[in-house]
Amino acid sequence: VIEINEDVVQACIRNDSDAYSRIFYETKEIVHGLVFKLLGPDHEVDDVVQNSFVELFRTLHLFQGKCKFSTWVYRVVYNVCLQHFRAKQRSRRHFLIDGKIDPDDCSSDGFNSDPKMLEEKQKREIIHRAILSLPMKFRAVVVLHDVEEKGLEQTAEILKKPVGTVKSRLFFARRELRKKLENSGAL
Amino acid sequence: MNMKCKNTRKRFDEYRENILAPAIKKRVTDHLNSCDCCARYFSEQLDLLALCKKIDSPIKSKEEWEKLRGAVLADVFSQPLHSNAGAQSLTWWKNILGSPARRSFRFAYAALTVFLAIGAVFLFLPRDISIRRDSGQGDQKAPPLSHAFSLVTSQRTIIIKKNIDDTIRPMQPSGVLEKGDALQTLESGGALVRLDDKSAVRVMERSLLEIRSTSAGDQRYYIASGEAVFRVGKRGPGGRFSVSTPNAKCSVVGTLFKVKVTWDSIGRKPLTELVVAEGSVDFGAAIGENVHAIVSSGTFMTIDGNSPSIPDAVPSKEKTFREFDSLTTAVPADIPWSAKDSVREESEKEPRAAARLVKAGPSKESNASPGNKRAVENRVLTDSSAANKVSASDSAIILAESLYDSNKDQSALEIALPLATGNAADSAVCIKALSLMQRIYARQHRFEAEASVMEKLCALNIPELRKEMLLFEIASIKASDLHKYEEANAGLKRYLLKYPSGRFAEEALLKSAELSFITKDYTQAKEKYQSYADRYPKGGGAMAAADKMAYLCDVMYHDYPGAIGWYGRIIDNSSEDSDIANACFWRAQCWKKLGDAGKALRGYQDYVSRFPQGKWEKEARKNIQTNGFASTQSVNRAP
Repeated sequence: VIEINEDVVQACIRNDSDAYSRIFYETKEIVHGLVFKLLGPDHEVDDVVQNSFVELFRTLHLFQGKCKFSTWVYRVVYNVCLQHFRAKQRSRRHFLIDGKIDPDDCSSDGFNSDPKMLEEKQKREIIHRAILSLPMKFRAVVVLHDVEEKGLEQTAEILKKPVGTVKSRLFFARRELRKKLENSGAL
Repeated sequence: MNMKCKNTRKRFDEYRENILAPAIKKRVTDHLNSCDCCARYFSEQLDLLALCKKIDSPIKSKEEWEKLRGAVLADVFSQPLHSNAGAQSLTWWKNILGSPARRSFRFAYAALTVFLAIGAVFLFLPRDISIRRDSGQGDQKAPPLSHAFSLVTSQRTIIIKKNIDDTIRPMQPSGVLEKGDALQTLESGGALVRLDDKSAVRVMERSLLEIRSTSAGDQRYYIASGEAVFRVGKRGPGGRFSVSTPNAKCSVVGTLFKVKVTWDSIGRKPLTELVVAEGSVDFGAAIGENVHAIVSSGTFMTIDGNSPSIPDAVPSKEKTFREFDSLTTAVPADIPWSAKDSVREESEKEPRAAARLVKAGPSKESNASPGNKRAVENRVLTDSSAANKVSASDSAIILAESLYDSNKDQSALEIALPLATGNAADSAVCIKALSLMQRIYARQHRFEAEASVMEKLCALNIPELRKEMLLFEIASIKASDLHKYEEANAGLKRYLLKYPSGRFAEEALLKSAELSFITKDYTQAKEKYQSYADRYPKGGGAMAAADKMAYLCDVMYHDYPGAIGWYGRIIDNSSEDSDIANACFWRAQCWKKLGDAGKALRGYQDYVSRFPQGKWEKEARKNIQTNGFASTQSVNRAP
């Protein structure tokens, strides 16, 4: 739960560095989590997180308190991710493929890793990979609704789409996801 | 009444989130109790959700978070924030006029606001008006200081005045700086800012200093990069003088000191160094963590990111004092007249001609009047040091790059544009300028301009590898952003002719085939897909090419044996179940069209057995029942 009141927002608008830090600490997990879940283990995740924070602070004066602060944070971060995703797609450098999860990476946990935990981690990665293979519009609803556990209405608010659209996207996204997970043996 | 399965499944999320009306919720529960199929569906969905919830992001260490926070705040403080005051005031006005209060009250409120606003404007009018109004009683308000400055520059230097409105002007040899102005000095450059109260600021080369407040009681400066030496005059009671950097803040009362900001190799982490020659400075991190210390004369201290060092003595206190003293008091070094005059002349002709000024280097006009002493000297300078000219252009490029980095696209363009049209001698500068313009246009999503700049770049003497990439990129932009398919296709053809086995040849061939298909040039498309499939049988687009070939043979050319071959290739090699299922069905359809009922029947049976839930399952069963000869009207293939 983000606990940011109107005073902190106003202090930020006045360029108060303490207020910026407060918002940073309150929202850091959300921002980093959403970026990672939407873009995958990309080497540019940190850059996108940084851009998200800068965008968050830059547009803070536009927050009118009509929705929850967390909803607004999610929306800004989602927009930055979408922008990054589009820019990356547009760059057409298909030979530089990011976001691939190397199963060998699991060995980096060391020799003492519990095999059960390792298996669990591999499973998580398979699921994440399946989500990342979905088109962005489906990926966004799955991440926000099913992974981040936002309600239908809040997801709709974040994506600025009607609830009906979110529901239909969820349906198709889950169908696709199920198929992929069944193929990979995770389900 | 019991609910239908379809309607029950539709309400899965609402049911789970408990946001259904009680009556509907009860009906869903009842249905789930009575329908095993829907109960299984709900349970499967819950399993999927449970799996999704397992995804979590990697944990960052405290140091990593701190590093990120430092970088974010450095970014935030290096750029002006919350700048859409116009939009905000508009919203505010809308709120007033659209409030549900009575109309007369609303307008009275608006009138009062306007009255107060006018009052505020009069209250904060510049000094001369307020003095006139208060004459006889003495001016209570501290007047803003004028920042008279003089140049300390050489021929290879350009100093630009960057105002808050994002315009760039070459600095006049004398003038007044205002709040929000910034000084950017280039290589071998420098500026001296003198204030009315005997304070002085010497901006060293390659530095960016912004004036944040010019009030006599509160003078604030910001150094984004580079270094500056400050001589602080006597402050009045409560008078403040502070210098901030992306990661530190120095507050002083009467002293002589230097602040230097450097960035790490990737430009993320600032390092601020403070050397105090006289008096003392309260030096601390920019972010309010109470990390600060009083640095006294003859000592220095650094803040690296957010970590401060312990204050240490400078090696030679007297030498430091003398150096700083001379920097802030000495008469500015004599400026070689050619550069000085070119600044003056250009700025008189056109105030926003910084780029032209840079491009010109030593005055061009000098060559036109050889009898003139200045002209002779100028020509000597021009001839003897061609490097100067290049270096002036290089400096301009550095400036444009720095403006681009701080998101001042328009200003960067103003500088890069004239440089990009340079002659062959300046081709290196021209390439740099064009590359910068390309990045600016790409950032602004001005694809047409981006493509045209890239075409210009291609014509220049750039490395072959880059040329190859540009050729491919131009075609890609035309195809995916400008939707000029024919031009894009021609570009790809050119690329393939020039680099038949280049780095992007595979992608170019597939794209070219797709573009031919989109523009309905099916013969070309077929040839290209065929060529792709032959050359890259294991390529990333092999299955897409096979699918398109099958479609073209089947639907466009009625070459059913050919289509059967391509469908077979998909069935054998594709990893996607949906593609295999479709290929199975369409292959059976092809056999049917060829009149081979036996093979068609086996094809349909194969499809039904492998994909019992497949899209064409009903159609396939119908064909099996009629021995492979059911009507095919409802199953026309789409590309």
